[in-house]
Amino acid sequence: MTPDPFTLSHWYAIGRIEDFPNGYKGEHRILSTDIAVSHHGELNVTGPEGSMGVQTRYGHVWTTLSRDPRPLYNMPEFEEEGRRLVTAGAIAVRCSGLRAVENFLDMAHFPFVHTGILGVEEHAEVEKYDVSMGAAGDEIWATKCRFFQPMAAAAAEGGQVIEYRYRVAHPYSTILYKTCPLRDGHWDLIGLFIQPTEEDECIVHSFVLVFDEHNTDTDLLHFQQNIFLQDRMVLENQVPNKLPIDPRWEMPTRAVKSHGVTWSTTRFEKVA
Amino acid sequence: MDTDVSQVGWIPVALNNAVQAGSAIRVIAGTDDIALWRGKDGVAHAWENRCPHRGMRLSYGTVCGNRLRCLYHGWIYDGSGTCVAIPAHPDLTPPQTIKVRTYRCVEAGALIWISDEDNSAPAIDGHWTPCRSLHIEVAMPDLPEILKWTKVNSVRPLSTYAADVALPDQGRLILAVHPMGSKGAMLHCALPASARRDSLLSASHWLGELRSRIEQAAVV
Amino acid sequence: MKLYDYVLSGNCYKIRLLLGFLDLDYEKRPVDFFPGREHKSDAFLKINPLGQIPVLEDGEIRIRDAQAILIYLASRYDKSGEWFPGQSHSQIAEVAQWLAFSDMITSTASAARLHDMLGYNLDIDAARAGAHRLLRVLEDHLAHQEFDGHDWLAGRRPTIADISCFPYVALAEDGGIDLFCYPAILRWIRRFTALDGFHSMPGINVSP
Repeated sequence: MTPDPFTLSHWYAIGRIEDFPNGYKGEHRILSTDIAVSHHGELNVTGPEGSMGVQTRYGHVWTTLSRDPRPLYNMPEFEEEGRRLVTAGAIAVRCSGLRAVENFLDMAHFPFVHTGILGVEEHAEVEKYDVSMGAAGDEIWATKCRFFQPMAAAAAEGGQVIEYRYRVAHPYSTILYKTCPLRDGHWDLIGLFIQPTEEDECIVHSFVLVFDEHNTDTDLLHFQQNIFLQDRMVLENQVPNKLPIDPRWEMPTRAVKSHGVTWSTTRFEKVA
Repeated sequence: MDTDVSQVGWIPVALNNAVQAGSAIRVIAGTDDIALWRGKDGVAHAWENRCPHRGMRLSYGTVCGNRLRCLYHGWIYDGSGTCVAIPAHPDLTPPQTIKVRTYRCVEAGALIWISDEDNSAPAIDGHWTPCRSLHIEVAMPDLPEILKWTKVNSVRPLSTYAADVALPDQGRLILAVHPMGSKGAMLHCALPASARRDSLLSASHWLGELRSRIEQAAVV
Repeated sequence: MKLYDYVLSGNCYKIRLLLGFLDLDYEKRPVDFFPGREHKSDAFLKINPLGQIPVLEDGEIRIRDAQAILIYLASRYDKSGEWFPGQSHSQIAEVAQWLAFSDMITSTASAARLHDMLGYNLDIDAARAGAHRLLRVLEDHLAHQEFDGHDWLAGRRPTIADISCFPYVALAEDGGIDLFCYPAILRWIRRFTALDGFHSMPGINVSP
């Protein structure tokens, strides 16, 4: 299936900047298309129709199949002093990248999948939160999300109610802003840059961008990978592994529908 | 081999000790992905292996008493497959429409049988004990075909997928085969309940050799 | 004691499991195995010239290789003597045999997991086929142990043989290796996760 225009119009991360050192040459894949990446003085990405756009941003290398792509979204937090960026590497998952976004936006699974870390069964209730479109109409924000977490971040000690904001910057990029336990009025960022390789397979590049003076980068890496691999077991065991389109479903599905996304989704007659 | 047509729909998907009280496992029957679970009361259930909420395989779930709880969001289903609790919304009474598709599920001859048809379950006399279940990598040969690979004294069909057979060296046993589509098939074997260690071990070796012959024949 | 540890490593998990069963205090020194390949860095090669984790340091003693560390911890710190039974020569050999078997599981099932999950470049079909050959051997053995009334790989009690085989068997589905066709292995996994002092790692589903 050829990707729909909206899916095609975006930039996709294909790896961390340090994964493509000078002299690098390798085959990669996005949206069921083979691409070749080489680095000889400058980065080059070649697809079936020749040279493709490439840029390095947010610790990662990005490319697009579109000749006229939408601009890559802004994350001004990457310019802030004092933050630490930890990139967690490329982890492959046998599911639609949209499933991975759906999972990331969902607090209700914390007590059951990340038990004792991001949630506990005694505090499973999800309170109401606000959903709004971003200024340009192509982003979605969920704000005033509050959830009890026993160990919300590598730097957090003891349980607390954490406030979150979720941002769906494009269909395969999602960022979580959570109250920084160390610095009032600031948010820590955790995000996924998803590289959809096939309709039912993806590679997840994740990062944390935090104020944290207690943990080493490797501590943060282990925390992040531990959480994501708990999710991976769920993501590989959802049936079907493409995202079903159903009107009763929540935020990510609504976003998908409003832009005419069809690639990596599946029609599903009856959910319940 | 004569087949009781009324029982074609019943598939032996596991030996009865494959799923213990308070646990859930995954089985494949034909092309269907099934969660097989047993409540604390010992009753076995066969359900479509998909939570109606987000499609998570229910075989990853947790048995709570005589209910099954989905791993992903903790939604709880009673023995009829009806959702009875949604932890993210504790004040909400789940709509009756949230229901898992269920199969009929019975136990006979140390085997767990499932069917989605409303017909009578296989009747198997006597008391039996589970011996072995072995995976066959190749597409399923049918039972008469399998029995050609071994010497048998007598065969009494129990269903399309199982027979009560008497073997020259092993004596009497139930041999069952269940198809798993692209995943190959399982061979199941049960012995009379009086069987002890030596006869279980002997039957296990016999079944292993039978599998080897089936797989080798498929390669050639 | 200090354990050079990686959160997603089944071989490190073996050590964390035994330390948990023995209720021993230790310090974790996290290693950036992926994506940083810290275990191949010059600094780490001075700690283990093989460039592998786990490594355990206990006072002046430094041990590499998960199986060697299991033997060390069990023979030094397990007062019950049950995790590495030393009374019977045949049982010592039996445990050693399964420790070696666990290394074969690592080179097949764990390799498949590294391929599927972290993008390692290797022959995935050979890795999975090799894993299934070993799982059949394990399945036969566990089923026959049950006929003898034994729940574990080397006798009536769990030993380091079970610990060394458990992680990469239980994580096999991460590498696209189906476990549902091995009922005796599934029963053994369930018994293992029910042991006192057991703790999980991501990719292993534990239903209480």
